[in-house]
Amino acid sequence: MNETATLTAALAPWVGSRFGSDAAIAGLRLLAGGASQQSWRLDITTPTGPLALVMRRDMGGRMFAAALGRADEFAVIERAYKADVPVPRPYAYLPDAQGKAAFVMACLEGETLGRRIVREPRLAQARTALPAQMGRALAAIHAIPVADAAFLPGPDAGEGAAAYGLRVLAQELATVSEPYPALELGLAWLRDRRPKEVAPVLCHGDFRIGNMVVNDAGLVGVLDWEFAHRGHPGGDLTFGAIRAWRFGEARKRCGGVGDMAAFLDAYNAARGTAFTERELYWFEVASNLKWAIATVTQARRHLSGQEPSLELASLGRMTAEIELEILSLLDRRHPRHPGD
Amino acid sequence: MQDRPTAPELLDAVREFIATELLPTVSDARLRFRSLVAANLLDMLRRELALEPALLRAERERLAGLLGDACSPPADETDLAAAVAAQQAALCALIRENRAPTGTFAAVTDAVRAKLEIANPRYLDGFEPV
Repeated sequence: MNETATLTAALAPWVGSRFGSDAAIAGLRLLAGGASQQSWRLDITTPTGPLALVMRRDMGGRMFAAALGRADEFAVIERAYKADVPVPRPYAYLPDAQGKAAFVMACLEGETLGRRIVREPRLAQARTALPAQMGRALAAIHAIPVADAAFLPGPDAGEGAAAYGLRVLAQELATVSEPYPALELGLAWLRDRRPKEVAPVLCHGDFRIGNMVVNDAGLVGVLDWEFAHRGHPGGDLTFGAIRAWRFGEARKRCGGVGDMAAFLDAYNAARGTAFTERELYWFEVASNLKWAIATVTQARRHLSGQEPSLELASLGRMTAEIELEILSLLDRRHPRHPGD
Repeated sequence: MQDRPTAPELLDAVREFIATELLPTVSDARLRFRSLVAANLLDMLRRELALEPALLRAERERLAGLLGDACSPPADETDLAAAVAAQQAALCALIRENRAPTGTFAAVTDAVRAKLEIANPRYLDGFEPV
């Protein structure tokens, strides 16, 4: 039997116990797969109608040291769902889906490719709505009681949330033997200016347009929770705004779809905070560093033989694009530079 | 001395094969994307063959001026890439120690621009601070 057939057989008992003996698997299809995890579309027929599900399944490898396993990722999605964050309804954690840990959630219908969300004419109305919708969704995520998220990685006792983020960045860059002077300049700039620390919140960790499910009316749900952690809200507030995630629409700084003001206003109104762009500049630099270092370490996954992949290899030559943006942000002549 | 096609000519031939013969037959979206990545990487190699020797020599000179005797010359002066990597590593150590020499920012910016002339010249040309 091939993998699809064995996995279908392995899932049948769970489907029966969860949805009743009249339920059956109508289809199972691999959507995306790599060395770290797979996504499967799981279609089920039940007496009350069809049900579209997605199964995320561990493959053993970890993309980053900080990435969560499926059990923790599922636990985060459960908390987000309970807190009325727009996320797929979580169904079950399966510790042994044919030998690998997995979880099952609802399949949300909509567009998830960032480039299409930013460009497709049919999503023009969605783009108008997205900044405020994303701001409110992020506020709801950050409002999840952080005491419920003690199992997530986060700052050491006595360590500030922003300081923790900076420490992780430096540690990840230190795992690479080749020199990256521009990234070192970025880290030094961050070390010399520390933002105001606030109590850590539950952070999504990868909050960008390509992890949103979007339909004609805008945001349907937030996906990919494997980088969730406890941290400073400034990380999530800026990661989706970096140039790399604007998909060529550099002037629409909120993920290539709109203004940062609409996003921040909605977030601040919902959270009762007063974050300003000026205050978040430090985090914008840090978020660029985070993605730049990710391209470096992802390419090393190919180079080490851990996961041979042309896409991962090509990321190694994308680092310079992000380095140019970092240097541009460090330059005092940058139009938004906050001064020293 | 190798016979023709030269290395750049071979890269062009492989790129044309991917773009005009292979891609039109590929319907799987992810495979199409990877084929485009492959074609783009061949373009990048083409630029690297043409431009990298001069860019490396310029970076060697620039960093030598910046670092002075903070970086001793390598044993093998013919391996330019290794020499520049050693200079960059020395510069990184100085930045981490908060002892970066004056002119570091400009030199590092030049080095990043040199990488983009090969990796993505269109991005470099269209870049504006926003």
